Amino acid sequence: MDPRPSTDDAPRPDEPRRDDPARVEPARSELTPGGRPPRDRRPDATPAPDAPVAVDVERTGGFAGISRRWSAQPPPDEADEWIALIDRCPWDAASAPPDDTQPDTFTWCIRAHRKGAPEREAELPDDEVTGAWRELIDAVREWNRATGRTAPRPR
Amino acid sequence: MTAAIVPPYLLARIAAVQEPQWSRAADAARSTLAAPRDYRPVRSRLRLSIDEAGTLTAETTPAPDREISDAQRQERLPGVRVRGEDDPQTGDVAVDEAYDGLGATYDFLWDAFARDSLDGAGGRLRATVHYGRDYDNAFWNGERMVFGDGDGEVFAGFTGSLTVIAHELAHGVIEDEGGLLYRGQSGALNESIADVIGAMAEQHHLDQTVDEASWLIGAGIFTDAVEGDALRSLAAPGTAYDDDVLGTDPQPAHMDDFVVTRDDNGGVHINSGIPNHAFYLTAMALGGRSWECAGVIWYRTLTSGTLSSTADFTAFARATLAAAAAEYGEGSEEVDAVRAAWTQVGVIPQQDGPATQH
Repeated sequence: MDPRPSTDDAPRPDEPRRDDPARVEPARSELTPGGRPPRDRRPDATPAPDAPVAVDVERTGGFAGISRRWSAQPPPDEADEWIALIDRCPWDAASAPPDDTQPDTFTWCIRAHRKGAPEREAELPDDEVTGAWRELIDAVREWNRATGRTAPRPR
Repeated sequence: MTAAIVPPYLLARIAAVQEPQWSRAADAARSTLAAPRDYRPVRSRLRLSIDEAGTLTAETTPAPDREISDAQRQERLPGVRVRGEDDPQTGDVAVDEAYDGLGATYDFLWDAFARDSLDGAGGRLRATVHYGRDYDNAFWNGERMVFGDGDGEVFAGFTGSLTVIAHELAHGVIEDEGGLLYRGQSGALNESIADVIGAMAEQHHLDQTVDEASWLIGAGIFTDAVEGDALRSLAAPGTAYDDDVLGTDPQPAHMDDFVVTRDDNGGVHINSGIPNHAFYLTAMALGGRSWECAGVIWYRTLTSGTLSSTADFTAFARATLAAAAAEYGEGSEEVDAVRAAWTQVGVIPQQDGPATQH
């Protein structure tokens, strides 16, 4: 695994706390009032000290070759649901995409952190994103969309 | 697929000859055609043109055999067949754009290189559109092109750009010619050749010279919310877009800026900028229409049968030099142009060739 920049390891000062009412504001659409979608966020794999669970999704490749990232750090009252979803994914069966990847297809990297458990990671070609994997990825993207949290991506 | 040296449409023409001095050939052709073989309807069309002397000429050329399917927003292939060859327009923009793009790419491969479809044997051209929901991609799955509709926020769709369609089909041509492993430098070459064919197919469709061409890949696929002209630029890699959301076009144009990354199969869509720019430089140096000279050199390199599937940039550069020398002669301006291009992008060292750098 690539070493993550140390700045990503610390919770960001502008990140709303889990008990912050601002965090559960009505969902913002992907487009900000300026008419611009938010920036993709770098995966913030390490949850804040009190976060029970965190999931990061990174999609690379594709015709455009543009990577996108999504991250979810659900509050404690949603943790059981998320942990159940994470446990349904066949982590041990996931193998790294083969060298003969079909041209222009996506590759997905999924990382799950749980308080007190080792990190889980899987890399999947696009056509293996089905079933529980699909549910988990969709949930992370939806969580991202619903909370509308943005963080600048390193340029 | 019936593999035969003489294509059936040619046999049919010989068989139809009435002149007595050709009767033996006509008989032979007729008996060859009559021999039992797998049934495969042969498509051909009549093309009429007037040459410089004002003479009307007619020729039969092979014609495409297209099939478009609709995935109906599922991520399942192939989807429902919605348009075949000779079927009228469906009114579904993605279906009809894909159909027309397949035809334009087919015409380019035939006119430029006398290649009959992706496999050179008239194989069917297949595409699936409306793949997935808000699906942000177009890809080649080994037997068909697959197009999502885009998310409407960053990508407006993919079928509107002939460069995208021809790029995907080019992956089929590359695969048919033995392939280039889709990782690292060989993967970046795979991507670059697909971009080169994508750019040339559009230029051919618009009948543009190298000076008139945009040299952009994927112009028009972004929504208005994105600040960018296209996905990639062969003329100026690294300048196609500069956007708050997408970041800056990461493509290098020189080996000094080669990007080492684990993502994107080792940066296949990033480092393709280097061979892309080498092709652009060659085409600009030779002038005219890209597919008539620079394109021939690249195409011969791909189809020579000697290119390794794990070739790196240097091996490919040397293969283009060999192809140029075989086609135009050792001391030709074509060989000089190819060498100067690869030198300028830092793939071939300066001292390696004569001082012909531009």
